[in-house]
Amino acid sequence: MRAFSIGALALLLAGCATTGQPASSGAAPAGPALAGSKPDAEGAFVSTYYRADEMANMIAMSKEFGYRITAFHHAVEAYKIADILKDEGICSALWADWYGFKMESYDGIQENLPFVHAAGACAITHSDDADGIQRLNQETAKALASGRRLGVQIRDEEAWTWIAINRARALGIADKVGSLEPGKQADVVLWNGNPLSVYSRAEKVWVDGALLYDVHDPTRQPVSDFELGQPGAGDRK
Amino acid sequence: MKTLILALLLMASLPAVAQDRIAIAGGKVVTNAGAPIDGGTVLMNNGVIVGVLPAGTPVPAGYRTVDATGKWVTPGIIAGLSQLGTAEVHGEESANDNSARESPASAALMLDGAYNPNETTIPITRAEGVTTAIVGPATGRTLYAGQGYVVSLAEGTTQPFRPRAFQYVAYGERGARLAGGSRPSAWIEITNALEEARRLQNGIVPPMRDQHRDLRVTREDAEALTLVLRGAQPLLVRVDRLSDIRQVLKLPGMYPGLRLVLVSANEGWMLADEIARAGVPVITLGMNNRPDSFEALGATMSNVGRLAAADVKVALGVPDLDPSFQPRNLPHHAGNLVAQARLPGGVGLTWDQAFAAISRTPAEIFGLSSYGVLRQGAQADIVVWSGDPLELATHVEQLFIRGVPQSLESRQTKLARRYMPGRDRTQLPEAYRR
Repeated sequence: MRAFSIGALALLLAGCATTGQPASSGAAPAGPALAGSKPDAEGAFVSTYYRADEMANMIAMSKEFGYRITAFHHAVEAYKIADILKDEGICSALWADWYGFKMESYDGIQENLPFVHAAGACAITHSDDADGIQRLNQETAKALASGRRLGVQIRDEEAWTWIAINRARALGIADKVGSLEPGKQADVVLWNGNPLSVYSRAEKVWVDGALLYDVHDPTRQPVSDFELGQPGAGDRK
Repeated sequence: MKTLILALLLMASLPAVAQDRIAIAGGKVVTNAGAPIDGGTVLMNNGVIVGVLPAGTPVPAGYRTVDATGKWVTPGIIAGLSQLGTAEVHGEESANDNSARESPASAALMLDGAYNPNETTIPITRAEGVTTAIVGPATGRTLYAGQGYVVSLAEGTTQPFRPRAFQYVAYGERGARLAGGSRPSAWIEITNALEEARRLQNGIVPPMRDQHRDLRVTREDAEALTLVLRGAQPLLVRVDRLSDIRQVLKLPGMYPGLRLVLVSANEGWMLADEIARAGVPVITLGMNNRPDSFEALGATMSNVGRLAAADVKVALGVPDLDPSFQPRNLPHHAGNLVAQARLPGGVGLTWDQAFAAISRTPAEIFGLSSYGVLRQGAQADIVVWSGDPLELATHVEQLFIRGVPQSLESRQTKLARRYMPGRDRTQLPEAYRR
């Protein structure tokens, strides 16, 4: 058995799905709107952009108006400007392998996460999709393997930062969650195998010390209001 | 000189077949036709497998040996359903021929005319071990989407080897929406078109004159559907809800000779025995596990396992263009179904079943008898993997289609090499690196 902190797994950086629309995270201090009041220099500012040139433009704009960008979401071309993202201290929240569904994602590569990480920038495995979000451990494993295939050697535990501590850093809550350390919230997952294997599943999940999921105990498996009385309620999904 | 050029051109239009004899020796050989052979050897010649030898058997003379010690050797992955070759960029209309929203034609549409061998998704997908793809259209103006094809992902492929392989139609919520707003309207549209085809078959031309013009299908569509009635093409029906599947299972009784295949079938497990009794195969994503529509309230990753347990033939495919579930990730989908079997209350697949669901089973559903297995006489579509092909960390090391070694390069690998970490930044910009 291996235990890893899921950290801010539940506190997803909820970026806006449409290109070019800055979105503030629901969990972080309120992000500023572009038009109107001057952005708060201390606030987390999260933007969804795909292309390298768009991100570079956004960085230039943030300097002109005096606010700081915390993270780019989607950032399909982050690997092209990983050095800039490192220098600016901006995290990139990335799909492992999404590409080609629209022109902005045309240059997606499977090595985006490991390339950003290898450049010394902050990489985050993400998905804004109801399916992709379920298996971020697998998304991370895929990206990690793709990097290794090209000779980018990253250890398993380093890659785990992409779904734990780096997320917490991007949200400004790394003092509370994102790693297994004395004093932090007890957000812990017990896996039934190596979490980077396709065959592994979460067996027990504690959030802030409370056991909220146990694969062996139906009383620790939530059923939503919507599903009550419907076909499939309480089934092993 | 002219003759030589002509001869070369002619050769180029034929599918490539390997001339040299190759032995892939020492790997864990997944034959899909019996237990895996540790340390086995696969012999290929002229694009065909000429032998699968047990461990310790020396490679016969005259073969070039590929050392696969420590590797896994399997048949190529067959995508049970995909959109490969029809959409370079999903959201870019000019580069997406997968559906036709405004066309007056429906069942008559032949997707193979859109097949683009230069589509970048093909080498991207091939590099992950996919050697053959079943390619289907999406619905456009009406619930009949048209005819899909089967294509090899080999380099140099010019056209699908089975151009009009099946007909695709949507029932359920999607069909209802396209047919005017209800399931009854979808049902009458599905069956009326088949009735018109039947009348056409019986020499009644033109089809019913007294019906409403919106219900009438074109002559071309009716002609296309005669292939379905004759069983020359299977009819793939996209359907999810329990009651909708039950309704669709009536079709073979109404039209003897019609070969029904269910697509998606997220609630199929609820009537697995009926589907099995009808001898109807299923092609599904296998990963749907959310009640994200009223026709998929029972969606679970146990669906495939429960269908298989009832002896339904189930292949994995990708019914929709969806970046979360790309055809290149089919081995991972299969691996997730192995994981599902290990959960309390979960029903999944054994490893062998899971691998067959992305190779042998789709081949069987589409009558590709020499595909998806490693045995004498089978097509030499062979993958050498770094490890367990269903695992996330595994990658393809070598790939052969019809015995020909395939490139694993793609637009994506070129982009990755151009932007490698630690690259020299003192020279010209990246655009100058080839």
